[in-house]
Amino acid sequence: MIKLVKVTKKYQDITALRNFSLEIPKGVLLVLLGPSGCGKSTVIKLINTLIKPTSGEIFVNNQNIREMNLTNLRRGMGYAIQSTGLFPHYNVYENIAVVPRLLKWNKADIDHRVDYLLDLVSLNRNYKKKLPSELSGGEGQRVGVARALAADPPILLMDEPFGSLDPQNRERLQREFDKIQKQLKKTVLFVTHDVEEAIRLADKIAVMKPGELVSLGSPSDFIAEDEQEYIKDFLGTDYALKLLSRFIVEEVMSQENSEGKEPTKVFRITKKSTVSTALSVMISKGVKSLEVTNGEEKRIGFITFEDILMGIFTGEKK
Amino acid sequence: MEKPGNKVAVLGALIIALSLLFFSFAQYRPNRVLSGTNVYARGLFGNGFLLLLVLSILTLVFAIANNKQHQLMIGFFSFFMAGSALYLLGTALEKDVFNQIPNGRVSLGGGFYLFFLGIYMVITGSFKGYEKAILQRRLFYLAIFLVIFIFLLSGHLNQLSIMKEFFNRSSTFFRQISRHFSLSFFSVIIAILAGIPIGVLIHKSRRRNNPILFLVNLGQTIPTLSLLGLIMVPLTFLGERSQWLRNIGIRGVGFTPAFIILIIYALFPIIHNTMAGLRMIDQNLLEIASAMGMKANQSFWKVQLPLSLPVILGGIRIAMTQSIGNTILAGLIGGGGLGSIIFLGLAQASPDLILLGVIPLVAMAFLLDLMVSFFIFFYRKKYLGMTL
Repeated sequence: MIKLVKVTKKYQDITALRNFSLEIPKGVLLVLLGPSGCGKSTVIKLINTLIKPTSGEIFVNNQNIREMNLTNLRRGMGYAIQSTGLFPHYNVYENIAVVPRLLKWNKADIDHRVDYLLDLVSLNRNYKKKLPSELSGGEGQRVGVARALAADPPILLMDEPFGSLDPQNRERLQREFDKIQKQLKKTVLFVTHDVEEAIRLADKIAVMKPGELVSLGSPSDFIAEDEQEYIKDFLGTDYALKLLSRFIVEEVMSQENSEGKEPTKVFRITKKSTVSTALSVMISKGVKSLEVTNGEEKRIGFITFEDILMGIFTGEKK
Repeated sequence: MEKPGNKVAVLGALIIALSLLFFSFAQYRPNRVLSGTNVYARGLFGNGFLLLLVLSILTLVFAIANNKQHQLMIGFFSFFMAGSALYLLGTALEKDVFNQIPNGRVSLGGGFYLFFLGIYMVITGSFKGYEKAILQRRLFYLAIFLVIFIFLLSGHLNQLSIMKEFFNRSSTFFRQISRHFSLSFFSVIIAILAGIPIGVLIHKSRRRNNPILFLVNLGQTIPTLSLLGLIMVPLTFLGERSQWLRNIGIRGVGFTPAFIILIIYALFPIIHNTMAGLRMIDQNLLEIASAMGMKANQSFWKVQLPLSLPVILGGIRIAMTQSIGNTILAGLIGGGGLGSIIFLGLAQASPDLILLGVIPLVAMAFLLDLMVSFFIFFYRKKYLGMTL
């Protein structure tokens, strides 16, 4: 869907990107992960043509973007950035309606669309009349995401959209966005320097160091990363632990208790909890297995340390 | 705790009280030009003096306490003091003392003006800081203005010397006011129509030393009066060459040169604020606008102009106030306006005549300023969700 072939971008004597190639298949959320100033945002701006490559080609839908109408290309790509970027003189409705209005949708369609999107990002519909200055950080980012999705573009470009939020809010929005993405299956390029964010959201992670791509794979692929010091350092020694928050209990549990004997004390966990929560409970209670419930006290299986290991190494989710 | 506005309000209340006690509120002169005797508030207002004094001291106390709950009280006190001072003044003027000699004149003294300055300061100082207070402040200004206006219309103050000057030349007076207004108002309108596009163009060209900007800055540094002299030369030249040009008003003196100079002066703040307003816009927003597929002109009309409008309006506000002051100089070259009355007053050494020109001038500047700032206030509140 999006393909960059040997793209180089130079600013005067600084090379922001060197021979950069990357492909994002349709329906995949690819996280571009790297430290600040490594050229992540440059990649996004090259794709929506805010800047032009010094050399190399970029294709969207197998079409070279040099040959495409810039305005139409941009209107087909939702764009969300850090600290919302909402227009302060437009209320929530008008902010979401920007691209649909540019595309000359009729009023009734825009109304429907705005209502749908507000529901999708879990904002009350009576927020429509509010100005960005009246919104909290989290609410503003929700509107930002809704605005990016407004004209139902096949592609989303997201430049650290949750970067300015506090940890709790950030995690909430990540989970909600993950849900939305599973439902809508957009082709997403998501830029961040936050490893946990990448783990939570990514189908694929592309790790960058300044100016170049160093590795590409699914989040689980990076557990076994031994060869490249740079990647190990950047992902952190606790990468495996962070990865646990990507999986939910339901995905790794088994029907039988693999520990064999029934434990003397039984602790329970719901199937929707993350695996990291499950491990945390096991450690704090001093047990090797937990009963998994369906949320209504009904036991549907067990989770053990064995299950967790198996789940992470064999079963990349889906 | 130090609260904002405290000092100004206290000083204002102090000035009110002091003006009542120690400054001459009016001057009584046997005729128009002879110097006169001072009359103090105590003598002029009789028992009303005590009422005013008590009110001013209460205001002072409230101003020192600077309690939010008393804010409205201070406002109403000030309003009431202004109203009653005018009423008492009019009543006092009816008294025989002032009407013994047929040509006797009573003019307002320094104390009277100080008194109103104090009231202005009290209101300015008390209502400060948050949105509702600023709205209330402007409403109190407006209310006091209306009271003054009503007293003037009612004829209650007709015995004042300045009113007599007014009746002596009321037809010229109104003609000059409207001339003054149209000179300053329409020059600003033209400056707006020209200045905003110029500002936008300079901003877009991104050149530091833009020649247009250089010219406008140069115009600003030349004193108004000299510019007036400078522009008279080419206009006289043109007017002498062509009868047609002379017919449409291109001459060395009169309306046209004054009008041109006023436009040049009004251009400066408008161009500058347009540029500043555009420069202040968050670059991220412009990037977002184009990333969402807005074309350059859409980005300008939908994002840049609305976001810089409060700053541009600020420039218009400055231009408007300045222009009203600058228009006085039109009086010097036969352009008319309140300047003619003021310069006539200067020539005749008649303070009342000068004031007859100055007071409407101040009122006009004040009201227009109030109007534009109301507009900015509501624009910011409605579209940007902020007011300060």
